[in-house]
Formats: sequence, structure tokens, C-alpha cells
Amino acid sequence: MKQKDKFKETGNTRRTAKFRWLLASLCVWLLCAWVAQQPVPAKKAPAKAHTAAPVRRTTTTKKSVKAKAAAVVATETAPMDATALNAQGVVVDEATGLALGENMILVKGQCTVCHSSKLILQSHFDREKWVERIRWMQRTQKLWDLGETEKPILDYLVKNYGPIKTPFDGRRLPLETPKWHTR
Amino acid sequence: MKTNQSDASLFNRRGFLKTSSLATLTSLLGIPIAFADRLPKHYLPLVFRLDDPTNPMATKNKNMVVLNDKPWNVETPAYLLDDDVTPADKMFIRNNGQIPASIDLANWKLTINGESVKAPKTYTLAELKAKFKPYTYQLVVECGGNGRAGYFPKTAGNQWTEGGVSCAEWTGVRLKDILADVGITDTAVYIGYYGQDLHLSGDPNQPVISRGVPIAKALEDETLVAWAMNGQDIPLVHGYPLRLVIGGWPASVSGKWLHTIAIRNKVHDGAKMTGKSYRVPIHPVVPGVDPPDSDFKIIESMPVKSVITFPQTGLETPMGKPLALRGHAWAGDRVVKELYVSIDFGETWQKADLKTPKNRLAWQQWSAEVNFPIQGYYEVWARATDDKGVSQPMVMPQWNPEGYLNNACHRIAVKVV
Repeated sequence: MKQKDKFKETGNTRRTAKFRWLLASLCVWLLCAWVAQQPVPAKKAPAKAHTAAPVRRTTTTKKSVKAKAAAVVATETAPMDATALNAQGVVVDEATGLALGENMILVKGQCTVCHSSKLILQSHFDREKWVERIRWMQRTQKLWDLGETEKPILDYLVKNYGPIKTPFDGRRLPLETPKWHTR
Repeated sequence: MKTNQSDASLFNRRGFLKTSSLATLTSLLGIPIAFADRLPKHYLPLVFRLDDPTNPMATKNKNMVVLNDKPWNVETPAYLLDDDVTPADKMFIRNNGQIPASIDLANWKLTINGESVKAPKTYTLAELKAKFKPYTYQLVVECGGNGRAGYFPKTAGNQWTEGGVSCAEWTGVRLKDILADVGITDTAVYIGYYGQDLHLSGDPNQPVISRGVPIAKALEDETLVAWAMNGQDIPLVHGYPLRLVIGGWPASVSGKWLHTIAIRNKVHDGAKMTGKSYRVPIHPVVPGVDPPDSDFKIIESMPVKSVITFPQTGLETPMGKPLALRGHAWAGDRVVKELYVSIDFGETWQKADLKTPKNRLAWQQWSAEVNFPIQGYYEVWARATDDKGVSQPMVMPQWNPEGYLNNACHRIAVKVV
């Protein structure tokens, strides 16, 4: 008698428990499926977690797990703007071709207002020369005072568009500047 | 020349500073020498070489360029090479090891031995001077790496510009006369010298450099076993009391502090004779490519070269006045036939007045006068052509992994104001 009751009770408990487990498993499965559907973030994208939802979703899945998913996905987020691979196989900003990196957005935002980014892409200057270009633009082309953004912009330009570091392929190095004298 | 007190007594038999020496040094310093237990064998700390007589800079022109001070490698800027005969204070210094700390002049000997002598023989300095007729020649002694600084990609080694060269007047006896006296067999192929210089590590058993030349070059009239330079004792740094002087070949064949010459029945294989030392690739290489040892050949005659010794680069000269130029030219075993200068980067060349050498293997003086069309920046380039029609290149010549033989034409900067 006791045993029968016990079995009956256990059976009921087991059935309910089974359903709970099934439901939980289904939820986890849905969660995993949703996560798997998310686009793979770009290789060089900064691994910053932010709460903004990533763009370019190809599918949306069950809404019930969306909130949880957003928190999980925050750790593998793509950058805000679209990226692409340039001819050299480097990942760059899709719209401008500018090298990804810290402060790229400052350059994109201010420098391409007037001229194409192609002007930057074809340049290979040291810092002194970049400063000279900026001053010339400010003097003659109505470029505004860059204020606090000038240093990070220069840092970016020198890092990504500095003098070419390929081996010297000429056949004679130039003469070194001498000490001028009159003897 | 005073002999120097040997500091050998400071070291024990195994080469380490004796405990008593260390105690003395420590008390002199006032503080312990940290890492004293790690001092290399035969090494005397620099601070105690206060009046180091092996410091060659004391008697050098103060504008010489020190490329290295251990070992000593010092270059002469082109404008200091202006003398027809290079004086001691403007002679470049090239060492692979340490200058000997002490010279036992009274007991100095020259031994001739090797597989291809009839019998080994030894001479004192007095015997050499008495037995053989002395000769005096002006001889070009140029470092094989002269010009190395102009190579790209950069190579290892002292970055000589154009001042690793000298032409002093050397007095001694002909090696051929000594060898005739000793007697050599017809198996003789090469000579190899041995000198008293000390290895950088201080180990007296470690050879520094021992090079040589084929027997034909050794037997030339101008190959000297010399004891005097410009009429005086050879300065210690340049090989006192006796050295080989073999003009027109890399200076490393002119062994200093000479005590032995071996007559070999094969190509000499002493220190710095093998591997890639003083060798260039047999087959020309793309710049930056370093082939295996077996692909290298020994440098023999140096190539044609010249230097502008006046004016010094950087001259500002007034418009309308002709500019006088002068310098020297040489071509290893050959003679320089023509010297040209250009003020327009090689578009046009003007022939210079070129003198004949004082004797075979001396350098040749040249002079020219140029006029500039308008104020501005110019370069004066000088280019020599030897008696086989071979000229200096205007660009970097055949690159080689050790950076030897850069004989590209010398360039100076001039501003016409």
C-alpha cells in the first residue's frame, strides 16, 4: 500500500519534473540556436562590450530569450560601422577605406567632410609633414581648429599613414646634410 | 720607444686576478668590485688603465672619427686626407684585437717557417737592417671595408665612409730578399703572417688575425717588411716595431706587430682567412642575400677608387668664383688613367689633371677647377678610371654580405651663395 502510494506520488512528481526539464532544455536550445544565428564579429573589431544592439541581423528568433541573448552577445560585438577587406587584405572601414583603429572615427568624421578619404589613403607622411598639411588646410582651405581632436588625429595618421617602411630599393643613399662652412 | 711595464704579475697562472691583486685594486678604488669573481681571465678593469699607453688617440688629430674603441677602429674624414703622404696623426686605425701592451724590442725576432721553406730561419731587427738593402715606398693601405657605410641593406662591420685608406711612406726590406736568403721550395703557394696582437678576450692563446697573399704578390718588389713610417719608428698602433706592408690589397694582409711569416704549400688558413672574412660572393647576389661559405672568394686587388680631399664637404662658396678641387686616386694593383669630376650628378664630366704615382702602388694626386652656373646647392662627384678601362660606379656597386669593396664615387656638398 505504502509502496503503491509512494510510486504514484513519485510518478506524478517525475512527470512534472520531466516536463520542467524538457521545457528548460527547449529554452536553452532556442537560446543556443539564436546565438548561433548571430553574425561573426569582424577580426580586428575592438572587443568592447556595449549595450547597443548589433546591426546586420540576418534572422530573429523566439522573442522569449532575446533579453538574455543580448547580454551574452555583448561580449562578441561587431563595430558600429560596416567593415570590408581592402586590396591588401587589411580590414578597413567600408565606406572610406580608412584603416580601422583608435580615432579612425575622428578622421572619418572631420576629414572626409571636405575631401575624399582617398587623399589620405595615398599619403605617407611623417608627423611633421602631416602637421604642415593640416596647417595649410587651416590657412587656405577653411579647415577649422581641430582643438582636442588634433593630437589623436595626428596619432592615427602617423600610425596608419606614416612613411613607408619598405627596404630602400634605390642604388645610392642621398648625401647626409653637411655642416655648412666657408673655409 | 719605451717598453711598458707588464701587468702580467697581477694575474695568477690560470689567468685570473690574484687575491692579493684584487685586494690592492679594491683598496685603490675604495669600494669592492662587484662581480669580481666573474672578471674574465687576463682582464684588467678599464679604470686602472689610467695612462694606458695603448690608447692611440693621444697622438691623433682630434677630428678623427672613432668608430670603435675596443678594438680601436678610427676613420680619417676625407678632408684630413689632403696630404700627399699621410702623416701618422691622420692615418686611419683598424684593429681586430688589442694592441700589444708591451713590446720587448731588444728580443724582437722575425721567424720564417712553414711547409715550403728549405729550413726555418730567424732574424733580429738588427740583422734585418744589416743583411738586406732597405727600400722606401709610398704604399696605399686601404681597409677592405672602406665605403661599407654606403651599402643598403646595411651589413655588419665598421661603417667606414671613405676614410679607411692611407698612403704613407714605408721603409723596410723586401720580403723577396728575405725569402731568397731563407730559401723557399717550388711548392710555395701562399704566405701567412703572425703578429703579437692580443685577442679581445685577453686569452694569449687565441689568435686574432693571420692572413696572407699568394706567393707571387709576396715576391713583388714593393712588398715590404717595414720598421719605419714617414722616416720615424712606426707608431705602436700601426704595428711597431715591425710589420708587413703590402700595397693595393685589403689592409688586413699587412700584418702588424709581425713576428712570424709562414710559407705555405696551400692557401693560408689562419684566423680571418677563412669563412666569409675578406671574401665576396663568387656569383653576384641580390642585395640582402647571403650565400653559403663555399660560394665566396678571397678579395685580392682593391678596385679603382678616389677621394676629394679639398674642399671639405659643406663648403659655401661665392657665386662667380671658380672652385679649386683636389684629391687622390688609386686602383689596387693597377694605375689610374683618368679622373673626372661632375657638378651635375653625372650628366657631364670634366677631366681633372692627374699625376703619376711616386712609385707603383702609391696613390695619385689630382686637381681640377669648376665653375658653377647659378647660385644654389650642388654636389661635386669624382670618378676615376683605371688602366683597364674600369671606372668607379656612381651608384652602390655589387652588394655583398660583409660590405666590402664599395668604391662608388665620392660626393661632397657645395652651396654657391
